[in-house]
Amino acid sequence: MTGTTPEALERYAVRGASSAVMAMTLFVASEAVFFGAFFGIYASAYTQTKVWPPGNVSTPSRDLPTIATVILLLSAVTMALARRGARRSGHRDRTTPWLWATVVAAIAFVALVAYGFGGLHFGIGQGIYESLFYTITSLALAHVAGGIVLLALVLARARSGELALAREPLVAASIYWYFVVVLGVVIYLLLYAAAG
Amino acid sequence: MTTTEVRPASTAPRPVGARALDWLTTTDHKKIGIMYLVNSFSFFAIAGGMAMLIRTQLAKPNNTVLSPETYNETFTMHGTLMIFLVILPLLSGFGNYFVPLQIGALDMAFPRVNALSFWLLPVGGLTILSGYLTSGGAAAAGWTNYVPLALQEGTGEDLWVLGLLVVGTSSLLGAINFIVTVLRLRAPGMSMSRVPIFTWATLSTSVLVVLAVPALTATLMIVFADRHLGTVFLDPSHGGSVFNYLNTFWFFGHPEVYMLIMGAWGIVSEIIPVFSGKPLFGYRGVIAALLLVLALSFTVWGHHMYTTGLVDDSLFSITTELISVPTGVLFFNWLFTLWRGKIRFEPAMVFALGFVAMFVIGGIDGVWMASPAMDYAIHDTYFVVAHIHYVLFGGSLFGIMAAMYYWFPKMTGRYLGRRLGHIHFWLTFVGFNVTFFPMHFLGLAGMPRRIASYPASSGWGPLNLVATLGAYVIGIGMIVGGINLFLSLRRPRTAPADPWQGNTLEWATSSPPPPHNFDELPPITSERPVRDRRLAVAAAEVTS
Repeated sequence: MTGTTPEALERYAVRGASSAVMAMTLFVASEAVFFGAFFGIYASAYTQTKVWPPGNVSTPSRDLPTIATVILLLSAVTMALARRGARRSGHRDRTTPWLWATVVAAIAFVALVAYGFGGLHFGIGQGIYESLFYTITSLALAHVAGGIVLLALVLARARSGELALAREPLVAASIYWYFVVVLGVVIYLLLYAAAG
Repeated sequence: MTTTEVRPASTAPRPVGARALDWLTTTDHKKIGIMYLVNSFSFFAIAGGMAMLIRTQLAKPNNTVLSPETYNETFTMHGTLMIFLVILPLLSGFGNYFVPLQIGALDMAFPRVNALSFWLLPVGGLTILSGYLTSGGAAAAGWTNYVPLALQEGTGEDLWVLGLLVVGTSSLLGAINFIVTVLRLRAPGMSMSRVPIFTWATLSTSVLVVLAVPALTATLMIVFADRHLGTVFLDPSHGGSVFNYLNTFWFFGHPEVYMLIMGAWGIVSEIIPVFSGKPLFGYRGVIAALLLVLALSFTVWGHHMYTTGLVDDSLFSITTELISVPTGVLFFNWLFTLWRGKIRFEPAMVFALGFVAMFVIGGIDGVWMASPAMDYAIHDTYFVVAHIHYVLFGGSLFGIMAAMYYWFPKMTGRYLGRRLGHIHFWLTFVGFNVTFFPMHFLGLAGMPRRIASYPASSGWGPLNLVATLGAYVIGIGMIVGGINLFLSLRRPRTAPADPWQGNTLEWATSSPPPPHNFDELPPITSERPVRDRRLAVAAAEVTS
């Protein structure tokens, strides 16, 4: 009768190395439900009114948000390039510059959206659109800020050379980042484009 | 040359402070599992005491034991604690201890996150209870926290919201940990088609948590934002709607019910085969039923809103009735497992059988209420109170008690007393039915839930008195259970590795297991590796 010793189990558990990626995927799924709840409220309010947004809202300008969203989309490209760089084992570090580019794009996005808030002519309590607008955009900005922290942690690992050994932190961070980018696009379409 | 006698490390007495520090800083899934159980049983004692107060107040018409305000706080806290800090964390506690053992893993996938998940629980629970220290008292809007009540309450309501956000975070982190553990850390040979049912149930519960708890988080945030940040999500005069609350809350709230019961289904599916001396009937059918319930549970939330006129009653009625199909499959699997089995009536088995009987009643109540015509008559009456207690007490808690008697020897090396166990069961079982069965009739007679008192002319007095007496019997039963626990912990460790002739891997290691869980695992070629090894050893003895 053959058995399995703890040593064999320990070796076998190496299969669990990409647990971080799986955990991040699950976390992103839960985040999607979280934002889905707010989009559900949006859908419910949208279908119950003839004019959207309801009331006489002076809708937000689309100029800055459009630029910001394009920058956010570009950050997904730089993130993909960072992942690609980590896959190629060359002499030159092909990951760190692209990660930096992603961080810069993220900071630019937050700055542009926050600056755009200054030009808004409505308060949070004026109506359901206004409440949704401020709540969803603030939560999304908080998520982008969280993404910047995550990217900074990955950058620290890239600098110490850890990423050369294990790409999981980078892959996990990229899954989160792609989610944030998709979220940004959906928010642009629903809160800026559809309200124009 | 002199020799120094070295005491083996395991028997050397260690200072209490060092041992306490061990527990406070541990990342061992077994210790964390036990801390989950201790924490949740403490909240159980508090919430159970509140139930006694509620029943005392309702024992007779126009009673004045509790003021209406205190009564509202008491049933709100009773429901909140039982749902969020007792039943789900108790199931998580058993999951923490036994999921890694059942799949032959060394620990959870993320041990430090696991410790965080646990420590968030007492923090969240005490935050909720700290409402009692505020001048306005604790939250009093019911566990469903309906608006506009949720917007009118004082600081206790804010603490309730914040506490639940913390508890929800704990559940989410725990669930992600369980899923990754089960999917990635299984021992060689432990394919998904050999994973024990309790582990399958914990996996399904965790998927529910990941996909439903964020809706609760969003709901709590909406309430908080409307209360303090000036948003108008729930204010109809500014384009908001109470419907926004109902939809997001129940999108979480109904899957929540299955989070509270699936683990108990898993426990009973482990215990009935062991004490019937037979394999579980239809192992794959049980897994399919679990997965079907998991999927359907996200399609039924509207049945909590039939009477609002805002949802498609027939659609939600159909999806809700559909859930009775996989649930029915589970019942028949348990019954066929019992059929012609060599049944051993140990306390664990008796509680499991009690579970099956009580859950049938709760399930049939549920099928009735899924019919809009019926629901319009009994909505928000004591019929609903009867139903939820048949499911969560007769169901979940009986399953948890069964698990306690079943796994206690593995966790401590000691048996829980058999005689006191039977007394514990019978007092609880009889008391439970005397308390909650009459509530069906009270509901049909029109008694609304959540009323602090009722006039004598209503005619509800006699059945309420019966229910209150039943509740006291449950209370005595629980005290007997507590005494049993206390006495058993003082007994010597006599439990062998496999005291019940078990099937699954937790019985392949010593009781209690070593810190690394297994010195050696048996080969895993079916969903019952320990039984396979037992039979192989017996066959070898016969042939030699």
